[in-house]
Amino acid sequence: MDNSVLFKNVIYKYQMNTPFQHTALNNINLKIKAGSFVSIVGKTGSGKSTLVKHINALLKPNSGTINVGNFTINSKTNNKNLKKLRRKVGMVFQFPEQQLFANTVKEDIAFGPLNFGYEENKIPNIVEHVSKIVGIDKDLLNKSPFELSGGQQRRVAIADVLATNPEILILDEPTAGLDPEGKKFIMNLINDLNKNQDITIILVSHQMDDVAKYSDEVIVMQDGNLVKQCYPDELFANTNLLKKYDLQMPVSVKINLMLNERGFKLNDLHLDEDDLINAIINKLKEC
Amino acid sequence: MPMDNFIFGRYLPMDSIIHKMNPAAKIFLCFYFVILVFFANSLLSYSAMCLFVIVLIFLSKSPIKMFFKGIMPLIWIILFTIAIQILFSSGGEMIYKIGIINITTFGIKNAIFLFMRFILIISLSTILTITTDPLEISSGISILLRPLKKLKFPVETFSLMISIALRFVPTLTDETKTIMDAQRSRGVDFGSGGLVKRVKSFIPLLIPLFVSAFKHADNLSIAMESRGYRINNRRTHYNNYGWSNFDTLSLFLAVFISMIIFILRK
Repeated sequence: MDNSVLFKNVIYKYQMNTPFQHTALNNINLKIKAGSFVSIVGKTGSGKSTLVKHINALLKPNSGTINVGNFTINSKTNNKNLKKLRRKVGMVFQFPEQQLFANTVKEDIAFGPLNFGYEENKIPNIVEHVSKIVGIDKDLLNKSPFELSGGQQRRVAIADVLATNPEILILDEPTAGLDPEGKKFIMNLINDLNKNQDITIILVSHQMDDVAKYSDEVIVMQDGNLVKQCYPDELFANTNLLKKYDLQMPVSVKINLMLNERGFKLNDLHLDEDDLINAIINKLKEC
Repeated sequence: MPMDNFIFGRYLPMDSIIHKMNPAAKIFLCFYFVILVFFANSLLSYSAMCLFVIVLIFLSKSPIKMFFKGIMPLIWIILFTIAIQILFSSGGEMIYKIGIINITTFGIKNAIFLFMRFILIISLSTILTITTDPLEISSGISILLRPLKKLKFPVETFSLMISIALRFVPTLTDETKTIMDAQRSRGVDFGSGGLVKRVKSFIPLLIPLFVSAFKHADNLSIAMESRGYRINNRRTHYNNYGWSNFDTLSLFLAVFISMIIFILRK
């Protein structure tokens, strides 16, 4: 079944009809293909988080519709009957370790599946499976989640969401506040889920290196407007666009530019560091 | 970041003479007038009080809608009290009687006064919260409590406590929302199902909230100590609220209004 996400003329205003009214999403139209890795970038307050909260109906649009697979969300969507949608769309919030609450890691991971009505005898398998995916040791499963380190808590929180077996996974700054190693682990994990398990990834991020390296498509938000949806190389090859949207330049693009300035011209723009290294080696061999 | 609603979010930053008043004077007068409402006991004195509150609302430039919003959460308590007054009070002329239910003129009159009393008190406190920033309220309270220092009451600590509590209301509201959203995404249905299920659904909300509140408290205490905070030292404040002629005038006005109420009451 097709699980693409489709926004049609979506408008969302915070605090409607008060003096504090504020347009967070201004007539958004977009399509996210099933199985793709899409990044949403933009300044703080540009509407990224508000946008993704519409995908599992945590927020409902003031007008317009959102289609997720065969679900339709509009301003009149009832708060009941959303379980199927929310099982399909997993959501990892910023600092997701804040959501941990259970006595043991095991119980915390089992919480989602139990809510969504998974059979109880299947739960131990699910817990074991997802804890392996996120790299949580078996002997941690019986510990309290509050005894773990920050990085481990983050992994448990991601396991919490993966446990419900989502087909679309939304991550809001999943690597914020982690050490470089932890960041790398999480990004590889997300990429692996996308490439090998065919989960649609929607990543909200300020880390342009990750965005450039992993995503199939980039959506740029600015003041509640969707200002660009394109391939990453199209966005990152154009320094004027980056400046216009106030986005940082990925390191790989910076290196490309610096090489260019010194007359060392590569044929293509390489956004992945390994590709870039190989291209430089090949070019050097040619010389 | 926009916040949909916070408890003291009724504050409307505007430019009226009431907004500009000294917060201590405002809080004092608000309490004073609330007490004064209880002294009104006749149609005339209630009318005078109403007229005065309407003038205040007008002066505060606040939208009438905000006052209805203040009354709505209490509407059932108000209606319940009025119903009891109407149905069960005795005295005055009997209008209708069935079993233990007595409807008397006295009961109806009392019910009307009670209703007015509710509306007046809610309106007065709404005027205070609409026109006064939460931080102003806390510093106003600390100014009013200052005389208690003579009785060894820890006024500075107490007022800091209030301002910290107020300061964290929006923060914790935001966190509550985020955690609720996160747990909703994991399939929690807040506010549906039987009573036991409903109460149970709040555990995944309350535990993370407590954990984070303790973390905030811990971090804040370290931050305060590292900046040299000592308990019960006299502190200076970033905002100093001056005393204007209007504040003096408003105190005289309060005396004048009380005189009118006492003349008009029976």
